[in-house]
Amino acid sequence: MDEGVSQPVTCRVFREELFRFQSDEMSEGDRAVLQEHLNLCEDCAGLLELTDRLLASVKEALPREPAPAGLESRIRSALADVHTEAAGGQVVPLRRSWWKDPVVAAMAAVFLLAALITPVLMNRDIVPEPAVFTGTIVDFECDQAGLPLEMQRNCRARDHLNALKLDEGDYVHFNIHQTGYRNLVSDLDVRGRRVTVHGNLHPEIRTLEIIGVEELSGRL
Amino acid sequence: MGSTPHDRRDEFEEVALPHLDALFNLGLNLTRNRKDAEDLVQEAYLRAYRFFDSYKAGTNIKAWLFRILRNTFINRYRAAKARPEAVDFDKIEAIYDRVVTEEHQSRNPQLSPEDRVLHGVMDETVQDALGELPEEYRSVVLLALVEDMAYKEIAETLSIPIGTVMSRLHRGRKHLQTALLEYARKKGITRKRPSVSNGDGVEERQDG
Repeated sequence: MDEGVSQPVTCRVFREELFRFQSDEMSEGDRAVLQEHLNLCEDCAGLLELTDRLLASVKEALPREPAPAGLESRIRSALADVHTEAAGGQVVPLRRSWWKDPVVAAMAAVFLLAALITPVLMNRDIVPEPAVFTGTIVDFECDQAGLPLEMQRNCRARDHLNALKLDEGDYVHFNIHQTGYRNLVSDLDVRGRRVTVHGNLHPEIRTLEIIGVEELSGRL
Repeated sequence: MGSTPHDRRDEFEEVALPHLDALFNLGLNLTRNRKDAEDLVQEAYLRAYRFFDSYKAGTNIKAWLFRILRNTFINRYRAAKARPEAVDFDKIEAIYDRVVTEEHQSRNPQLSPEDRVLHGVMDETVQDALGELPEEYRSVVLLALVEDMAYKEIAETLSIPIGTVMSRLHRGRKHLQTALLEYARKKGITRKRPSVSNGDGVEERQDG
């Protein structure tokens, strides 16, 4: 990774390496070579001194203050409210009664339709266009059991919802598959992670791929 | 799992609330607004509580909470995120090189005492420059510079590879430093001398 500092060190070389020098992104040997130049060159030493001060000021310039007095008690009482809302002492789950929402129910209908069509297309050995539509996330669960080992590694068993940067109610595009592991999503953040949607889905649907999070500016 | 909801809440509060100041501070740096930061932190705590089952006891709770706070921030401010990015990283390298070269060529003799007092004066510049960075860069810079997190910890917090942390930090810091150097020159914090420029930029004037 270290490309090495060319010798002899000129002012130009020093300037080119200045950032790596300050960021500790270089080997001891390279540092020593540059340090030697610094000892001889006042201009470069002055430049380093100034940029060092500027870097230090970055940290000083960013606010660093404790949480306001009332915030902790506000959070404590909000946490207590979570309990009183929850039935049977359970923590409120992320899931909500999505089937009662007419919009979501309509989406579910599209979902079912697509699920019925997809296997037929797959059986004919035709590579279908992915059935893409916008749906509402109800809840996610990594489909660990149904995945090959290399996929399981990518599928975060625990806080996968956060790892996917998705939230309940986020709009996403789904790419419906019956079984296969083709068409891996291209977005690095969600590559290879499979999710299962809770609810009364068609039994043929085993996995869903998220192929993109839609930016809906009006929603938030 | 035989614990009562009260035990659970106590346990959560015990491990999570000590990090309130750090979370608020990160929230403040992300939102740049005290009220927004408070709301963001509260929402993040509630969400963390809901996901508390997924937290593995003994692992880095602060990193886990930071991750939730940051994701909450992204979700809340997704609309704002749709703005075109203010930083062109392809240009940053070139601008940085130019500014550093100009600064070097200014010979920068002894600075006057008042010039040395940068405290406070630069705050706005730094915060603006930070605000121009896309969120994924800003978070890395904040965790590294404000929270003093190591690369590995940042990678864990943001669920990105260490190499990505390093490159984002490199570019983010370069952008900040460029903004500061430009600001410093504009305000005459460094002394200028007639530069020996040549053609498209600044030519080497000596080989130390």
